[in-house]
Amino acid sequence: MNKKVIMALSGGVDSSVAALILIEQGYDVIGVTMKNWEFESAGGNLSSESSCCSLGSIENARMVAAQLEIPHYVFDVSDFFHEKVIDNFKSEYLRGNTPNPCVRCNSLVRWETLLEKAEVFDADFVATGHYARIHRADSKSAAELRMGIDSDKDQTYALWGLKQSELEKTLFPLGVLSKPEVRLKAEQAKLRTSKTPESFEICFIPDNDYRRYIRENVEGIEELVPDGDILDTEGNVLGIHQGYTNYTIGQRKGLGIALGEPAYVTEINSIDNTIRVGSKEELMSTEFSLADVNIIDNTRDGDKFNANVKIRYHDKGNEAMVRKKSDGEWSVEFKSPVEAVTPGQSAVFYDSDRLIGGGVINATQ
Amino acid sequence: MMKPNKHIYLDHSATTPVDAEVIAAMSHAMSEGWGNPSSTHADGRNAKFLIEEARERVAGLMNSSPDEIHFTSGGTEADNWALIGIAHSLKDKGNHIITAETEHPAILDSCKVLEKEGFKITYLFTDRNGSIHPHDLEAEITPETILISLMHSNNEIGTINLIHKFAGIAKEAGVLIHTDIVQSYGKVPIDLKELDVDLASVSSHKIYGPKGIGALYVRSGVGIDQIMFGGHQERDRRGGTENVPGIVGFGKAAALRAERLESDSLSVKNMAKNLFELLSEKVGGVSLNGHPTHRIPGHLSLTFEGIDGEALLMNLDTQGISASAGAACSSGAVKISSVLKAIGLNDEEAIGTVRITFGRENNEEDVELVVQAIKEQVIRLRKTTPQIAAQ
Repeated sequence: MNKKVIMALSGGVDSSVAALILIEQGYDVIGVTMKNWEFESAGGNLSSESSCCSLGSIENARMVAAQLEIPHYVFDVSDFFHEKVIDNFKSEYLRGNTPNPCVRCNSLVRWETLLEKAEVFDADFVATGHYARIHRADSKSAAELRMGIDSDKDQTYALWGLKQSELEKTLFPLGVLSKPEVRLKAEQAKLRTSKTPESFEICFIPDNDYRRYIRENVEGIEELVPDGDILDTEGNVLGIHQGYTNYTIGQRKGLGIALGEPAYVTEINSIDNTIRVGSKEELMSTEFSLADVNIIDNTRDGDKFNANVKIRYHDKGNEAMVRKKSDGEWSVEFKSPVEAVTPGQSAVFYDSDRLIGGGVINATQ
Repeated sequence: MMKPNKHIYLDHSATTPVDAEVIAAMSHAMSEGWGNPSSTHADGRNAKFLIEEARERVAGLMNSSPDEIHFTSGGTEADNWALIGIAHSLKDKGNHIITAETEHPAILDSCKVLEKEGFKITYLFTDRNGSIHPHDLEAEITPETILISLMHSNNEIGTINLIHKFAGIAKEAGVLIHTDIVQSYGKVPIDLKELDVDLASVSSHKIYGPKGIGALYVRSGVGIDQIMFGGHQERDRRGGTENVPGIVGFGKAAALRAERLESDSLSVKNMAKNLFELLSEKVGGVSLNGHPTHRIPGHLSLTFEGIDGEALLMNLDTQGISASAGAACSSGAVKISSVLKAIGLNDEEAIGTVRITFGRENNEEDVELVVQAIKEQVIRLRKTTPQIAAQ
C-alpha cells in the first residue's frame, strides 16, 4: 500500500509541482482546494487570476488535478475562514494594528481542514506548496521546521503557528527547490499552471488594496474611524489624517504634511484617534512584547534564548534575546534598534535556518 | 498510483455514457449531414431528413406527434422556455403559476425571473415521500392561474408523481400544465396522450445520448412565446441553426430506448433492490428516501446514519466508484440539498445522504463490489467522524 497524502492545491504553479513531486515519489495523492471566501464579495478589480481561491484558480486546480490524474475535491470553508481570519483582519485594523491573515489562516484554518480531510480519507500525510522543510533527526525525534533552500522564497515566516502534532503529519515537497527549478519542472511536465503569475497579496483582497477592502467591508467605517489629528513626538498637531486604518507604521508617503525632514508614521493610536509621525530615528526601537506565542522547537529549555528575529515577511532578521515574561506574554529585545516594529505583524524566531517559534507583536502603548 | 481495478459508474441520473450506436449515428450525421437544414439545396435536404427522422423517434418514445417536438439546447432550456414562454404568452389572462419546492433549479430559477416580472408563484409542499397530493394542487388554483409545472419524477429522490391526476385537475380548471419528464423519459413508459399534459421537457444525455440537446413537447394548438430569436427553425418557435449531430444522436438514443426500455428497467430495478437489501443487512443504519414503490427504476437515495455522505462519496471515488450526493454541483462545493430538506430530513440526515443510480451497463457483480466498498467505508467513517454535523 502506498502512503496517502492530502495535497492542498491552490491552482498556482507551486502546489501543482508539489503534487507532481509527491506522485513521482510514489505517494497516492488526493488534491483538495479550500474555498475560503466568496469571490463575488471581494470587490475591487478582479481581473487578476493570480490570487488563490478565486473561481479561476479553483478551476485551475481542478484542471491540473485532471492532468495529473489524481482525485480532486473542493471544500467550502468560507464560514470558518470568515470567522477566524477575515473578522480578525477587520478588527485588528480597527485597533490600529496591521494583521497578518496568512499566519492566522495557516494556524487556525488550513492545517485543521487538511488534517480533518486526512482523517476522512484515511491518509498518512498532508502537504502544501510552501517553500519550507521539515527535518527529523531520526524517527523518534520531534519534527523541526526549517527554511526553504531558496531563501528568497522561504515561507516559514507564515508557518510559525503550526503545532508539533501538525508538523509531524506534514510534507513540504518544494522546500529543497528554488523557484526557477519549480517553474522549470512545471514547464517540462507541461503543467497547465506553469505560467500562473506569482501571488504576493492577501487572497481575499485580490487587488492588494487593503484600504479599499476595509472601507467597503467594515460597516459604518466613517463613524468608527473618523478623521483625526496627526501629531509629532511632542504632541503638536501637524495635520489631519483621513482615518487611521489608512496608515501603517513606517509609512512616509501620502501623509499630506511638510516637515523639514522625512517623516514616518511611528504610532497609530485607535483610542485617541491619532497618528504620530517622527524622524527615522524615532521609527527605530529595540524592544517589544508578544502575544499568542507558539514554540515549535520545544527542545529548547528555559524561558530565555538568543535568536535571529524577523519582524516582517521579507526581513532578513536581527539578533535578539527572546524572553518569556508570563504564560501569555513574551518579549523580544534586539541587540541594536530595528526599523518600524509593527503591532499585529508576526515576530518569528530562528536559529540559523531552523524556526524556533513566533508570536504577534503587541501595540507599544 | 490509485488505479482502481474496475471503474463502476453509478450516477446515471446525472448523466449517462454515450451509446456506441449513438456515436456512430452522430459521426454519420457530421460527415453526411453537414448541410444547413434550412437550405433548399440537396445538402440542406440531407440534413433536414436526418433531423426529421430524429424528431419522429424522440416523439415516438413518449407517444406524441413529431410536429409537437421542438429541439432545444437541453432540458434546462426546455424548462426555461415552458415557463417563461407560457407566462409571456398568457400574461393578459393571469399572473399566477403553481409549481413545487422540490422542482429542478431550471424551473425554480425561471420562477424567480418571472417573480421579478410581477408573476405570483405558489410552491407546493410534498409529503415525506416527496409526493404532491392532488387536493393540495386543487386548493391553490385561482382565476389568475395560467400554468402548473410539476415534475414527473424527482432527480434527487426518485419519486414519481401522479401527473395524469394533476393534468385532470388542470384541464377542469382550464389551466395549462407542464411537466419535466427528464428523469423518467426512456426509463419508464411515457404516453403523453394518456398523461394529457400540454408541455413536457426531455433531455438526451440522460438516455445514453449526447449532451447539449433536449426538446420541449408543446401540444398542438397550444401557443407559446419565443425565448430564442433569429430564424424560422422549429416551426418558427426557436431561432438558430439546428444542432444536427446532437439531434441525430438524441433520435438514435430514443430509438434504442424504445427497444430496450422494458428489459433495462427490469434489470436496473433489480440491482437497486438487491443493493438496498444487501446494505440493510450488511451495513445497517441505512434508509431509503422518496416513495418506496412509485419511483424511477434503478434510483436509490440512501441516508446512512452517522456519516458524512460527501466523505463516503469521495472515498468511493478514489476506489473507482462514481455516485453522487443530492444533485451534482457545478463548482464541486456541496451545500445541503433543498429537496432533502423539503421531504423533512434534518441536516444530519441530509449530510448522510447519497444517490446511487444504476444504468444499463451495470451488472450484479457491480452490486457485490459496491456493497463491499460501502461497507468498509461506512464502518470506518462511523468510527472516525462522529461530529460531522458541525461542518
